Amino acid sequence: MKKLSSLTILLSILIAISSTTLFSQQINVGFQDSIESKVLNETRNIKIKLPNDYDNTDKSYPVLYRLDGSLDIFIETVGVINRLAYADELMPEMIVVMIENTNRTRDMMPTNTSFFQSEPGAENFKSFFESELIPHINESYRTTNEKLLCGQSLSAVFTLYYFLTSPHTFDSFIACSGGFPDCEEYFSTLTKEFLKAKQNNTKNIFITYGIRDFLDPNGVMKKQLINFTQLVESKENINYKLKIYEDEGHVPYQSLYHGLRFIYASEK
Amino acid sequence: MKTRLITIVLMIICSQSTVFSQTNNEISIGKKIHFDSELYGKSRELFVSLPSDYNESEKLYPVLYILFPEWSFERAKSAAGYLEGRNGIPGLILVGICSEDTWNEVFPFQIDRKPTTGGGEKFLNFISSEVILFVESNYRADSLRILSGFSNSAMFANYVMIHEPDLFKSFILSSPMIGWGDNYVLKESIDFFSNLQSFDKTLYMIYGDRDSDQVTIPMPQFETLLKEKSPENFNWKIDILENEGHVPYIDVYSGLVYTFEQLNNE
Repeated sequence: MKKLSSLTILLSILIAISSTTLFSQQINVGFQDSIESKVLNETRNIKIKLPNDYDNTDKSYPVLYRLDGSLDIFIETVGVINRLAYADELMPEMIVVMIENTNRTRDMMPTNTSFFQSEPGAENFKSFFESELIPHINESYRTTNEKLLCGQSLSAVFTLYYFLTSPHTFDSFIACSGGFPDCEEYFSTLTKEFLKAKQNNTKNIFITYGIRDFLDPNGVMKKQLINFTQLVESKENINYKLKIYEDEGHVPYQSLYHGLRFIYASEK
Repeated sequence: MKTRLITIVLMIICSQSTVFSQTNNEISIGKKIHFDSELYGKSRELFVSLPSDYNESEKLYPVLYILFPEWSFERAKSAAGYLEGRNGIPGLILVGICSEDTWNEVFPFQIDRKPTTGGGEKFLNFISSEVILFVESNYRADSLRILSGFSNSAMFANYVMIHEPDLFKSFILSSPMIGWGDNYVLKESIDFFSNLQSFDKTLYMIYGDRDSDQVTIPMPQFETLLKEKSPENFNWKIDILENEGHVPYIDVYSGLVYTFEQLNNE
């Protein structure tokens, strides 16, 4: 009897613990996953958000790949998607995949600059997308062919690099406050090659810039982006927009929101 | 008997650890907290999200209250997270006050075809006597309270501002539907400001040029009222966004930027 009652107490404690757990639930917006990369020779952590009714349907969804998988940027991305896909119903529901950084500058830079002297890794990072990450996501989740890529600051440089060198991989590119920092000539060659190649499928590209960008006090990046716009926007099958924010600084807060409205609601 | 009990205990332990490992994998932006309301005689729900350095510090933080967070919590958290440490904006404790019956809670008057409307005064009492008390006794909150509302709940936040002005220092109102009930809250605001000498508050209002009539028709009158009657120490701003509809996405972000610009200048 005595033993039984101590067990009863133990039981009640356990039940009490389990009920307090239920009492305050977490507000979840996604989950962590990881992928072993042979290309990069390391494990890469990713953050994923599935559409709200993913488990109750057989539908397939487009995938938005966003670089720099920090918690802040992930929450912002989820907020934008929920707003535009569910509240406003302006765009399709989509899967969000965010790639956390390990060695950001290495992965994002396609060439050497004054601020980056070691081996550039952008081409390798692109191979990781092509041969590992995208196939992994397509195998693990119900995806359509539609894919978007979004990056900011240094990862926007990578987004522009991807756009110029392998535009076929994604349908849409969003580059927030990206330019060609100390590598204008390198990108100018890429742009010439890009302009020569025939563009068969429509690609959306949306680039943002904030006038108060603390990294661009002399407006060098702004000038680069305006030149780039003049060269690229008239190419066939390119749906192009450069949005300049007067009151914003580096990586304007509404970049993704306006980018998705440009792509899905055709807002110029 | 004993084995059976042990099995049950083991099962509970196992199920707990499963839950635990799952939650470890989840990305969370806060907690849903239930607490007992005497006024409503039942449990009410709050969403709570803490600033990034809350657990490592002993600091006190301002509290941003969000009415009906079911529709705006991620947006608010995203804005607060982005702005934390920028523009002179500190980390904030976010408290979402969830709804049970949205038509009842934010309407201080009755409207046709919505039989439950009219519970606004009770909801205000609930916030002033129970929610704020709960928050300030359970979290390290400083004295700065900001109230944000959206659409109908922004009309209610306007009502709170003029009925219990001491409760909050700052207000962020996104697309306030102050046309409801034959401009009920607009009329009360006209009375309130008609003879006011001092009002040491900040108010940020925002709506879209393609917004609801309940916003776009009364708001110009509200703006005129503030231009003509607002006391000198009352800091307010109204933004009308081009090519935006009801409850602009940028609301909390712009609201926090404006609010702290004003507060940091004081």
